[in-house]
Amino acid sequence: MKEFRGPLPLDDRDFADVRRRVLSKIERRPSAPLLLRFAVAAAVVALIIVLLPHPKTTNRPLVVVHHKPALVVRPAIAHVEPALSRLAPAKNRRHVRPERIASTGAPPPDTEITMNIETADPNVRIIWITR
Amino acid sequence: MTADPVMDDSEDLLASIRAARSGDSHAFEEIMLATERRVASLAWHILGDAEEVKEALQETFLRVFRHLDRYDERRDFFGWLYRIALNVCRDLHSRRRPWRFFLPIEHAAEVPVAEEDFVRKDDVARLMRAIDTLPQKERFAIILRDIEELPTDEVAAILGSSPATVRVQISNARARIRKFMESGR
Repeated sequence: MKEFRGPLPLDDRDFADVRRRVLSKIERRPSAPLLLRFAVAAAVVALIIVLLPHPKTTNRPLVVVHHKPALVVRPAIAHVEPALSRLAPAKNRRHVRPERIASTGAPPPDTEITMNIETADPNVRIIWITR
Repeated sequence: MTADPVMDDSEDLLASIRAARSGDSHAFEEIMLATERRVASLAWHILGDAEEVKEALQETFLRVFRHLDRYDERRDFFGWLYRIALNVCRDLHSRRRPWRFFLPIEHAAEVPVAEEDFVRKDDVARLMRAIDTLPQKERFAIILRDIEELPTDEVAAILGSSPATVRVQISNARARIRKFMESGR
Protein backbone atom coordinates (compact mmCIF):
# COMPACT_ATOMS: atom_id res chain seq x y z
CA MET A 1 0.00 0.00 0.00
CA LYS A 2 2.91 2.33 0.69
CA GLU A 3 3.53 2.93 -2.98
CA PHE A 4 -0.09 3.85 -3.54
CA ARG A 5 0.02 6.88 -1.33
CA GLY A 6 1.23 9.27 -3.97
CA PRO A 7 2.25 12.89 -3.43
CA LEU A 8 0.09 15.29 -1.48
CA PRO A 9 -1.81 17.73 -3.66
CA LEU A 10 -0.86 20.67 -1.39
CA ASP A 11 2.42 22.55 -1.43
CA ASP A 12 4.04 24.70 1.25
CA ARG A 13 2.14 27.75 0.08
CA ASP A 14 -1.19 25.96 0.55
CA PHE A 15 -0.24 24.87 4.05
CA ALA A 16 0.88 28.41 4.94
CA ASP A 17 -2.40 29.74 3.60
CA VAL A 18 -4.41 27.31 5.72
CA ARG A 19 -2.39 28.20 8.83
CA ARG A 20 -2.90 31.91 8.23
CA ARG A 21 -6.66 31.45 7.87
CA VAL A 22 -6.89 29.33 11.01
CA LEU A 23 -4.87 31.82 13.06
CA SER A 24 -6.91 34.77 11.85
CA LYS A 25 -10.13 32.99 12.85
CA ILE A 26 -8.72 32.00 16.22
CA GLU A 27 -7.55 35.51 17.02
CA ARG A 28 -10.84 37.05 15.92
CA ARG A 29 -13.01 35.25 18.43
CA PRO A 30 -12.55 34.97 22.18
CA SER A 31 -11.36 31.63 23.37
CA ALA A 32 -13.85 29.14 24.81
CA PRO A 33 -12.50 29.28 28.40
CA LEU A 34 -13.01 33.05 28.41
CA LEU A 35 -16.62 32.66 27.27
CA LEU A 36 -17.08 29.94 29.84
CA ARG A 37 -15.77 32.22 32.57
CA PHE A 38 -18.26 34.93 31.55
CA ALA A 39 -21.10 32.42 31.55
CA VAL A 40 -20.19 31.10 35.00
CA ALA A 41 -19.90 34.65 36.38
CA ALA A 42 -23.32 35.57 34.96
CA ALA A 43 -24.87 32.42 36.44
CA VAL A 44 -23.39 33.16 39.87
CA VAL A 45 -24.72 36.74 39.81
CA ALA A 46 -28.18 35.52 38.81
CA LEU A 47 -28.15 32.93 41.59
CA ILE A 48 -27.16 35.54 44.20
CA ILE A 49 -30.01 37.82 43.07
CA VAL A 50 -32.51 34.98 43.31
CA LEU A 51 -31.31 33.78 46.71
CA LEU A 52 -31.01 37.23 48.37
CA PRO A 53 -33.69 37.67 51.09
CA HIS A 54 -36.25 40.23 49.93
CA PRO A 55 -37.60 42.79 52.54
CA LYS A 56 -41.09 42.00 53.84
CA THR A 57 -43.78 44.49 52.84
CA THR A 58 -46.23 43.73 55.70
CA ASN A 59 -46.12 42.16 59.12
CA ARG A 60 -49.27 40.19 58.60
CA PRO A 61 -49.07 36.47 59.15
CA LEU A 62 -49.09 34.48 55.95
CA VAL A 63 -51.97 32.23 57.04
CA VAL A 64 -55.07 33.57 58.75
CA VAL A 65 -57.49 31.10 60.28
CA HIS A 66 -61.09 32.20 60.59
CA HIS A 67 -63.14 30.43 63.21
CA LYS A 68 -66.66 29.79 62.09
CA PRO A 69 -69.53 28.17 63.95
CA ALA A 70 -70.10 24.52 63.24
CA LEU A 71 -72.49 23.72 60.42
CA VAL A 72 -75.04 20.94 60.13
CA VAL A 73 -76.75 19.60 57.04
CA ARG A 74 -80.47 19.59 57.11
CA PRO A 75 -81.57 16.01 56.47
CA ALA A 76 -85.00 16.96 55.06
CA ILE A 77 -83.55 18.09 51.68
CA ALA A 78 -81.43 14.99 51.42
CA HIS A 79 -84.55 12.88 51.38
CA VAL A 80 -85.73 14.47 48.17
CA GLU A 81 -82.59 13.79 46.21
CA PRO A 82 -82.99 10.08 45.38
CA ALA A 83 -86.38 10.71 43.77
CA LEU A 84 -84.92 13.39 41.46
CA SER A 85 -81.96 11.32 40.48
CA ARG A 86 -84.17 8.37 39.60
CA LEU A 87 -86.17 10.52 37.17
CA ALA A 88 -83.28 12.22 35.40
CA PRO A 89 -81.20 10.30 32.85
CA ALA A 90 -77.82 9.15 34.12
CA LYS A 91 -75.72 11.42 31.92
CA ASN A 92 -77.65 14.55 32.94
CA ARG A 93 -77.56 13.75 36.60
CA ARG A 94 -76.35 16.71 38.59
CA HIS A 95 -75.05 16.71 42.08
CA VAL A 96 -77.12 19.01 44.31
CA ARG A 97 -75.07 20.36 47.10
CA PRO A 98 -77.01 20.19 50.36
CA GLU A 99 -77.76 23.56 51.82
CA ARG A 100 -75.73 24.43 54.85
CA ILE A 101 -77.63 25.81 57.77
CA ALA A 102 -76.12 27.21 60.87
CA SER A 103 -76.77 25.02 63.83
CA THR A 104 -79.38 26.31 66.23
CA GLY A 105 -78.82 23.58 68.75
CA ALA A 106 -82.39 22.28 68.35
CA PRO A 107 -83.42 19.29 66.20
CA PRO A 108 -84.81 20.18 62.72
CA PRO A 109 -88.55 20.83 62.61
CA ASP A 110 -90.86 18.05 61.41
CA THR A 111 -91.84 19.27 57.92
CA GLU A 112 -93.87 17.76 55.09
CA ILE A 113 -92.57 18.02 51.51
CA THR A 114 -94.81 17.74 48.53
CA MET A 115 -93.34 17.40 45.05
CA ASN A 116 -95.55 17.94 42.05
CA ILE A 117 -93.91 16.59 38.90
CA GLU A 118 -95.48 17.23 35.51
CA THR A 119 -94.81 14.81 32.70
CA ALA A 120 -94.96 15.21 28.92
CA ASP A 121 -98.48 13.75 29.01
CA PRO A 122 -100.81 16.45 30.45
CA ASN A 123 -103.04 13.71 31.89
CA VAL A 124 -100.22 12.19 33.94
CA ARG A 125 -98.90 13.98 36.97
CA ILE A 126 -96.65 12.57 39.71
CA ILE A 127 -97.23 13.84 43.22
CA TRP A 128 -94.62 12.86 45.82
CA ILE A 129 -95.41 13.50 49.45
CA THR A 130 -92.82 12.81 52.07
CA ARG A 131 -92.36 13.58 55.75
CA MET B 1 4.70 7.43 6.92
CA THR B 2 7.49 9.95 7.11
CA ALA B 3 8.27 11.63 10.38
CA ASP B 4 7.66 15.35 10.61
CA PRO B 5 10.94 17.21 10.72
CA VAL B 6 9.53 20.27 12.49
CA MET B 7 8.44 18.76 15.74
CA ASP B 8 8.86 15.08 16.36
CA ASP B 9 9.58 15.37 20.01
CA SER B 10 6.46 14.64 22.01
CA GLU B 11 7.72 16.80 24.86
CA ASP B 12 7.92 19.82 22.59
CA LEU B 13 4.49 19.05 21.24
CA LEU B 14 3.07 18.77 24.75
CA ALA B 15 4.65 22.09 25.70
CA SER B 16 3.06 23.71 22.65
CA ILE B 17 -0.31 22.17 23.52
CA ARG B 18 -0.13 23.56 27.05
CA ALA B 19 0.87 26.98 25.79
CA ALA B 20 -1.87 26.96 23.13
CA ARG B 21 -4.44 26.10 25.79
CA SER B 22 -3.65 29.33 27.54
CA GLY B 23 -4.23 31.22 24.29
CA ASP B 24 -0.74 31.34 22.79
CA SER B 25 -1.41 31.46 19.04
CA HIS B 26 2.27 31.08 18.18
CA ALA B 27 2.29 27.75 20.06
CA PHE B 28 -0.79 26.68 18.14
CA GLU B 29 0.99 27.49 14.90
CA GLU B 30 3.77 25.17 16.05
CA ILE B 31 1.22 22.41 16.55
CA MET B 32 -0.14 22.98 13.05
CA LEU B 33 3.34 22.90 11.54
CA ALA B 34 4.04 19.62 13.31
CA THR B 35 0.86 17.86 12.30
CA GLU B 36 -0.54 19.42 9.13
CA ARG B 37 1.02 16.95 6.67
CA ARG B 38 -0.34 13.93 8.46
CA VAL B 39 -3.82 15.45 8.62
CA ALA B 40 -3.61 16.44 4.96
CA SER B 41 -2.52 12.94 3.99
CA LEU B 42 -5.47 11.37 5.78
CA ALA B 43 -7.90 13.90 4.31
CA TRP B 44 -6.45 13.38 0.85
CA HIS B 45 -6.89 9.62 1.02
CA ILE B 46 -10.46 10.01 2.19
CA LEU B 47 -11.64 12.97 0.16
CA GLY B 48 -9.43 12.83 -2.92
CA ASP B 49 -9.87 16.51 -3.70
CA ALA B 50 -7.26 19.21 -3.08
CA GLU B 51 -9.73 21.97 -2.27
CA GLU B 52 -11.60 19.73 0.13
CA VAL B 53 -8.34 18.73 1.75
CA LYS B 54 -7.58 22.41 2.45
CA GLU B 55 -11.05 22.88 3.87
CA ALA B 56 -10.73 19.76 5.99
CA LEU B 57 -7.35 20.91 7.25
CA GLN B 58 -8.68 24.30 8.27
CA GLU B 59 -11.78 22.90 9.98
CA THR B 60 -9.75 20.23 11.77
CA PHE B 61 -7.39 22.77 13.28
CA LEU B 62 -10.23 25.07 14.26
CA ARG B 63 -11.90 22.17 16.08
CA VAL B 64 -8.60 21.18 17.67
CA PHE B 65 -8.16 24.70 19.01
CA ARG B 66 -11.76 24.83 20.24
CA HIS B 67 -11.51 21.51 22.09
CA LEU B 68 -7.89 21.58 23.14
CA ASP B 69 -8.97 21.64 26.79
CA ARG B 70 -10.58 18.22 26.34
CA TYR B 71 -7.40 16.58 25.17
CA ASP B 72 -6.11 14.10 27.73
CA GLU B 73 -2.34 14.44 27.91
CA ARG B 74 -1.95 10.76 28.82
CA ARG B 75 -3.33 9.77 25.41
CA ASP B 76 -1.61 9.99 22.05
CA PHE B 77 -2.15 13.42 20.53
CA PHE B 78 -2.10 12.12 16.96
CA GLY B 79 -4.84 9.61 17.73
CA TRP B 80 -7.01 12.42 19.07
CA LEU B 81 -6.13 14.61 16.10
CA TYR B 82 -6.91 11.84 13.60
CA ARG B 83 -10.28 11.26 15.23
CA ILE B 84 -11.17 14.93 14.75
CA ALA B 85 -9.86 14.91 11.16
CA LEU B 86 -11.87 11.80 10.39
CA ASN B 87 -15.05 13.40 11.73
CA VAL B 88 -14.37 16.52 9.67
CA CYS B 89 -13.90 14.43 6.53
CA ARG B 90 -17.10 12.54 7.30
CA ASP B 91 -18.98 15.85 7.72
CA LEU B 92 -17.56 17.20 4.47
CA HIS B 93 -18.64 14.06 2.70
CA SER B 94 -22.19 14.16 4.01
CA ARG B 95 -22.44 17.81 2.95
CA ARG B 96 -21.13 17.33 -0.52
CA ARG B 97 -20.75 14.56 -3.01
CA PRO B 98 -20.16 10.82 -3.04
CA TRP B 99 -16.84 9.39 -1.92
CA ARG B 100 -14.05 9.72 -4.41
CA PHE B 101 -10.66 8.15 -4.21
CA PHE B 102 -9.37 8.98 -7.64
CA LEU B 103 -6.64 11.36 -8.52
CA PRO B 104 -8.37 14.35 -10.13
CA ILE B 105 -7.33 14.71 -13.73
CA GLU B 106 -5.61 18.08 -13.15
CA HIS B 107 -3.45 16.57 -10.39
CA ALA B 108 -2.80 13.40 -12.31
CA ALA B 109 -1.05 15.47 -14.92
CA GLU B 110 1.27 16.97 -12.30
CA VAL B 111 2.47 13.60 -10.98
CA PRO B 112 5.62 12.63 -12.86
CA VAL B 113 5.29 9.03 -14.05
CA ALA B 114 7.98 7.14 -15.94
CA GLU B 115 7.09 5.15 -19.07
CA GLU B 116 7.59 1.82 -17.29
CA ASP B 117 5.25 2.95 -14.51
CA PHE B 118 2.19 3.07 -16.73
CA VAL B 119 1.17 -0.46 -15.84
CA ARG B 120 1.66 0.25 -12.15
CA LYS B 121 -0.35 3.46 -12.44
CA ASP B 122 -3.22 1.48 -13.83
CA ASP B 123 -2.97 -0.88 -10.85
CA VAL B 124 -3.01 2.09 -8.50
CA ALA B 125 -6.15 3.44 -10.11
CA ARG B 126 -7.82 0.05 -9.84
CA LEU B 127 -6.79 -0.28 -6.21
CA MET B 128 -8.16 3.15 -5.42
CA ARG B 129 -11.38 2.23 -7.13
CA ALA B 130 -11.54 -0.97 -5.07
CA ILE B 131 -11.05 0.97 -1.84
CA ASP B 132 -13.72 3.37 -2.99
CA THR B 133 -16.28 0.57 -3.14
CA LEU B 134 -15.72 -0.55 0.47
CA PRO B 135 -18.23 0.13 3.24
CA GLN B 136 -17.30 3.25 5.19
CA LYS B 137 -15.96 1.52 8.32
CA GLU B 138 -13.80 -0.89 6.36
CA ARG B 139 -12.64 1.93 4.18
CA PHE B 140 -11.52 4.06 7.14
CA ALA B 141 -9.89 1.05 8.78
CA ILE B 142 -7.84 0.15 5.72
CA ILE B 143 -6.84 3.77 5.02
CA LEU B 144 -5.63 4.26 8.59
CA ARG B 145 -4.00 0.84 8.91
CA ASP B 146 -2.52 0.14 5.47
CA ILE B 147 -2.05 3.57 3.93
CA GLU B 148 -1.36 5.73 7.00
CA GLU B 149 0.35 2.72 8.62
CA LEU B 150 -1.02 3.28 12.09
CA PRO B 151 -0.93 0.39 14.57
CA THR B 152 -4.17 -1.57 14.94
CA ASP B 153 -4.70 -0.38 18.51
CA GLU B 154 -4.44 3.22 17.41
CA VAL B 155 -6.81 2.65 14.50
CA ALA B 156 -9.27 1.08 16.93
CA ALA B 157 -8.99 4.07 19.27
CA ILE B 158 -9.55 6.50 16.39
CA LEU B 159 -12.56 4.61 15.05
CA GLY B 160 -13.99 3.95 18.50
CA SER B 161 -13.93 0.19 17.97
CA SER B 162 -12.11 -2.69 19.57
CA PRO B 163 -8.82 -3.91 18.03
CA ALA B 164 -10.52 -7.26 17.26
CA THR B 165 -13.25 -5.47 15.29
CA VAL B 166 -10.67 -3.47 13.38
CA ARG B 167 -8.76 -6.65 12.53
CA VAL B 168 -11.93 -8.20 11.13
CA GLN B 169 -12.74 -5.04 9.17
CA ILE B 170 -9.26 -4.92 7.69
CA SER B 171 -9.35 -8.61 6.82
CA ASN B 172 -12.73 -8.19 5.11
CA ALA B 173 -11.53 -5.09 3.29
CA ARG B 174 -8.42 -6.85 2.00
CA ALA B 175 -10.49 -9.80 0.79
CA ARG B 176 -12.89 -7.48 -1.03
CA ILE B 177 -10.01 -5.56 -2.61
CA ARG B 178 -8.34 -8.80 -3.73
CA LYS B 179 -11.59 -10.00 -5.25
CA PHE B 180 -12.09 -6.66 -7.01
CA MET B 181 -8.57 -6.69 -8.40
CA GLU B 182 -8.82 -10.30 -9.57
CA SER B 183 -12.20 -9.81 -11.22
CA GLY B 184 -10.72 -7.35 -13.71
CA ARG B 185 -7.81 -9.51 -14.84
